[in-house]
Amino acid sequence: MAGFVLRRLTTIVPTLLGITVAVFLMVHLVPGDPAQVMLGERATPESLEVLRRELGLDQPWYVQLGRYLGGLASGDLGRSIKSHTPVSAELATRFPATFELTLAAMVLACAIGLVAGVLSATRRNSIWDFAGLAASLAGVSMPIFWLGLILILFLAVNLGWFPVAGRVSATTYIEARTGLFLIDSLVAGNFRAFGDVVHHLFLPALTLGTVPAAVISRMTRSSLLEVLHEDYVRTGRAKGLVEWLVVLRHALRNAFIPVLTVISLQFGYLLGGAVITETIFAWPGIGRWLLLAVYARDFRAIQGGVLLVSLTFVTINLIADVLYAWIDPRIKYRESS
Amino acid sequence: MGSRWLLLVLVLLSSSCEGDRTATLVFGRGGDSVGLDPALESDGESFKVCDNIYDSLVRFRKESTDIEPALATSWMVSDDRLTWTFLLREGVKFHDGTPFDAEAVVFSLGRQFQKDHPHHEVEGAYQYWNSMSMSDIVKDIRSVSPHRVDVELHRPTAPFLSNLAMGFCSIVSPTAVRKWGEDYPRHPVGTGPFAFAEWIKDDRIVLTRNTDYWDGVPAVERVIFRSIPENSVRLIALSQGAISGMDNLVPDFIPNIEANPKLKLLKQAGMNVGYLAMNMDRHPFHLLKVRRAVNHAINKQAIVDNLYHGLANVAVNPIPPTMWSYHEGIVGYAYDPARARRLLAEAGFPEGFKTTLWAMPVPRPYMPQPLKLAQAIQADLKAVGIEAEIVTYEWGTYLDKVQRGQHDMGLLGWTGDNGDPDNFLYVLLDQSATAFPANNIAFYRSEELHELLIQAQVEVNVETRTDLYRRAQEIIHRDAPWTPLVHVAQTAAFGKDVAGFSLHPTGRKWFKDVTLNR
Repeated sequence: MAGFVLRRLTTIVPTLLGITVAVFLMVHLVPGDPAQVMLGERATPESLEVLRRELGLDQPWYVQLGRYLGGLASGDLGRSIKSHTPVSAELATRFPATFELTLAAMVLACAIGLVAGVLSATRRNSIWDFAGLAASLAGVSMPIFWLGLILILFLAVNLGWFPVAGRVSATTYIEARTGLFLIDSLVAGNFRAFGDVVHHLFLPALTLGTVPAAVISRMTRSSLLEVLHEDYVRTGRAKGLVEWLVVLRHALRNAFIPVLTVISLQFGYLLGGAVITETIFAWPGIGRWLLLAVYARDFRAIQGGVLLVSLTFVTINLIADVLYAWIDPRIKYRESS
Repeated sequence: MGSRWLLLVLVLLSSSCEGDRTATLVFGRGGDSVGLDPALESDGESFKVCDNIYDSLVRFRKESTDIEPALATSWMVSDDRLTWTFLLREGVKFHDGTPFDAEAVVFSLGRQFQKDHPHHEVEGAYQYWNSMSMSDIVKDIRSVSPHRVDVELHRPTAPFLSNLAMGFCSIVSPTAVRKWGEDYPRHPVGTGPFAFAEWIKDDRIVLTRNTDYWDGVPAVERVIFRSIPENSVRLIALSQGAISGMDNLVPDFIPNIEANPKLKLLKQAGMNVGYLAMNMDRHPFHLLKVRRAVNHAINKQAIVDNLYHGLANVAVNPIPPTMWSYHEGIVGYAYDPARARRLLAEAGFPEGFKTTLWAMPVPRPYMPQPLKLAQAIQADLKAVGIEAEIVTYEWGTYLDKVQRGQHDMGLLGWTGDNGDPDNFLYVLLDQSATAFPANNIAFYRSEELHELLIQAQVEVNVETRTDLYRRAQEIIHRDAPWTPLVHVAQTAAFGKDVAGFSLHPTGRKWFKDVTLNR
């Protein structure tokens, strides 16, 4: 197992290098000059030239790429050309925000998806099953911006239960240690702030978690149905185990591998793709920041952001692979393969 | 059951949050600031915060673009109009305790153009200084005594004083710039009514009041700028009381805000223009009759009513009516399709012609719905026989292409910086502005106009300048390089409990005089 993890870790480096070069080329091939975008209507020939020289845009692309990779090798992501802030510092405040939101969304999604999936599978063709099917169809097909606004309209505006914007109230102060406000507020012993964080987190997490919840419930249902017809499940029932024990301990564990795959993919996908949810709920995360960086042709920000998201994605996949073996002892990663 | 629990939490939270709100003004806006070094930034969201942290030598009077003393108590101009002497306010301190003096002024302005200045080399530097051509205006700046600064100019330039009131000429603490270097934009220190306290990127910027402020202590203890990108969500936050004010309202909101007894709407003619430029380097717009025909063909009032929901004025001249020297005597080209067709026939196009109409892909302050506006103009032009195909590109590409003159007709606009007509007429319509990247995207070259505009730059007397600019407007109207379309109103909404805020023609936002009555 340790060998497997090591080998996987060594493949991460070329993967990330490939992504970096690909993103670099894409950003430089797309029309639109960052200097022009920054100066807008006010550009003068001199100011454009000065800015291009400062940004290194007057150099050929391979020189720019070489410089960037050189910086990267020493752990330097460069400074954002829009804000002049080190990209690493920009990521440090935003990544935890996205991570916390994604984690909360996935927790909600797993809770809802697994329960709905198990209910549908064990009560096949019942009203539960059909209700689950209808709900998950709605869940995957609903545009997120629409869902977010509808949730805001009903739960925040009409009922007044939730705030609509940000991670905490404007007047709540939380000292950032990990950047995860749930943890930071607890560490500081500030329970009022913790309540405020949960309060702000719920609507965006529900919005973001809807699609994964639907996908997870469908996958759990179909995977569980397959397993429920296996011999060992019949044996379990035959030896007199109560039904829920059969389902949860024996069937679900075996049905869980494909579900775990879906969960890990969705998790990785949400981390980089929460742009719409972050925009609607004024969530200061990485998705919206990346989008604005693309608009501004802030190539250093784009490259740094995509690199971090890719790294997380690859890491989550690795964790999922390790979990496979833990859940299903039949899966072994051989040293020789 | 769940909902009851939630309600309980909500009640507890809301009652506990209420206490300190009275002293805090939370202002909602569409995006975060880029940085807080006034000399480096170029976006409105950065200046919105900077304006409350910093002072400059002179400032705009409330609700006008007249200049009044700020950190300079008085100034005089030498007889040759080349040397300006500023006497500085005494006893003022920066938020970090550094005393404000002539050295700070020389430092703040000098770093933007003196190549040997230790803080001149900064990436992305001094865009405003460059775009206002300050290096062509200012030759040298000297500290004569601790409270006297002399600025020497290359040539007499009247708009210079107005430029000093702009954000990029704010005075920064030299101690802080030296201490933070490239990270100064995240640790700003000024002499203004509020001091910088905290910045959570994309979320909020917190300022606390400067209790030693030379012009009176602000009424609110804290100002928080909160980023809420989605327009409708920002309005909901305002109605819920999570924020106390917001700007950049979309027209659809206006009835909603006016109907809400808890909110109030502020509205003022903005210092901007949205226009249709006809590229005079291209066929057939080199013909005066064609340009006049286009002017007669477009129904501007319908555009204002339908696309701006009344939040704009029909434009007649390139400069807005709130600006001094605006020529009321000029009557705009009337909406008259029959006359437009007649003019086209006289120009040799009885059947009309085919052309392109360029529109930007993104909303701009002066043009919130550029593509719809282009469609309206397209329909108006079709009615007189001109078939205009709408062309659009991603914003950076669009600017690049129109500034190279690749368009036939193009939509664009301008927001004024310093309240001086020179900042509209010279920047947008002088023949010198046709070189790439051209701001004069009509590629209109008039020697007659050029002479007037240059004369008006040199002249210091405001009455003489007014006269020159009025003549300039007559020439532009006669030659019709544009169809001036609209001057957009600027808007803001506040809770009823917020008082003392007034919109400024430049669109800048000062919160020093705001009070909260709760």
